[in-house]
Amino acid sequence: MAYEELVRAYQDVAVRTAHVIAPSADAEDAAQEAFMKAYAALSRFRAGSPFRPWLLSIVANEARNRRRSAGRREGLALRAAEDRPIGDAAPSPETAVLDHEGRRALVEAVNRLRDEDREVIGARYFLDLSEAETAATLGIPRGTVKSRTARALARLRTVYGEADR
Amino acid sequence: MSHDWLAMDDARREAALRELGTLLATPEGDPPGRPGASSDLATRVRARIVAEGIIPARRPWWERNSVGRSRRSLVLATVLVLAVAATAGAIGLGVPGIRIILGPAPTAEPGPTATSSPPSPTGSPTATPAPGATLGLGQFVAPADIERLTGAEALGFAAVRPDDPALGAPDATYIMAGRLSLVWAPGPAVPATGTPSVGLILTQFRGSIDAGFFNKIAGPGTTVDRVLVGDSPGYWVAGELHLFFYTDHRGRVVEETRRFVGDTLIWTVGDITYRLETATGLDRALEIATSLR
Repeated sequence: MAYEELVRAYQDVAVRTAHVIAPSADAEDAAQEAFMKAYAALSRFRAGSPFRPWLLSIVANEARNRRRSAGRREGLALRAAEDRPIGDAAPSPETAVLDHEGRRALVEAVNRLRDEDREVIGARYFLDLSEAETAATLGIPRGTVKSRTARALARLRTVYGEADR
Repeated sequence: MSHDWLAMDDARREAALRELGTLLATPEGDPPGRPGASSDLATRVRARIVAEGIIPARRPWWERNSVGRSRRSLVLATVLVLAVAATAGAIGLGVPGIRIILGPAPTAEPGPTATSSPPSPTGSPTATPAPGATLGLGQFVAPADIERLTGAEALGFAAVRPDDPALGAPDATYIMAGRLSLVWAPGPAVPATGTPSVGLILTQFRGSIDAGFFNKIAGPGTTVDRVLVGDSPGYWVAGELHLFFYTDHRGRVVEETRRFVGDTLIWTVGDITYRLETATGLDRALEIATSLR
């Protein structure tokens, strides 16, 4: 089945998106459900528009629904093994922006943000989505992405600073 | 390297967040080296679709058997996968792997072709845009530059053209990153297509087809047949198709919005892939394809 190929092409970003939006829910399960819903809704996909944000908006909705029932006990976390990166995408010590302590503090600060703020930070920075993709994924106007990102960053600075003392 | 995120400037703070994104634990846990549980997500989705009998709004063509393509109402389409796999050229040139997934077709019928603008038989390209100019085929090549810009040295391979008297010379030429597209306007030799002022497009680029993926092809409203072009293997993709997803050599999915020109004949000779899009039907497409010199 060819849809399987499409799922394979997008499953990583789908699972990561679900995880960023609802860290305490089962991200794979949410992604799987989203792929099922996307399949059933393929006829509503507007040809000529990019597929990824359309898919991710379904993933985001699914993850949000699960977030409500899953509560917020678990947040995002660094990889185990002293956050040692896997693969070549990770920064080497020489080029890294933050050290281990800095990273841990930053993740904790992100986890303390409200859902709305964490979502936009997650989409823009953790998933590295463009403003347009973020807008489509989160279902908000593009102009809102800009303002919401700025606001979320400001709150993140506050939360990060408070934890420091 | 620092731990003082607050002391950084805005750009640096954003870079730190992006970096953090690459270091987050993945949902399936992190034992490195493990293929990752999400690798069978696709298999599980497929199994569920089959088990639950989910049909995207219309029964897929492979289940419809004799039921003809009746109405073209809302076109949905699953997905169709062509794949152009990585190959290494005889002289050791690495060729990026390209996978093409043809996605859902449009929700509206591609209306009948504009009948109002017959192509100018003399081919005088004055104020009207060249055929195919809006299709994103690449940079338009002026007639004077064709020889220089579409030679083997410029393209990286020797381009060919149909030796078909009825067809004649192309009406427009485009190049984009080693990909050559020749466009003919509709005329006595080629019928009009879903795209105004375009009758036929021949694209050639370096890459090869991985036959394996063609066996998985599905898609309501789309059929794929194996054909021989001369003695080269190829595929005839007929029906509705619109979106292409390429996976480049780094595994990233690249989306390309596709025009609706007609049916597509795609085949490979050596490490060059040819794609001919037209509404002429298979027989005529094969005639044109085998005339390439």
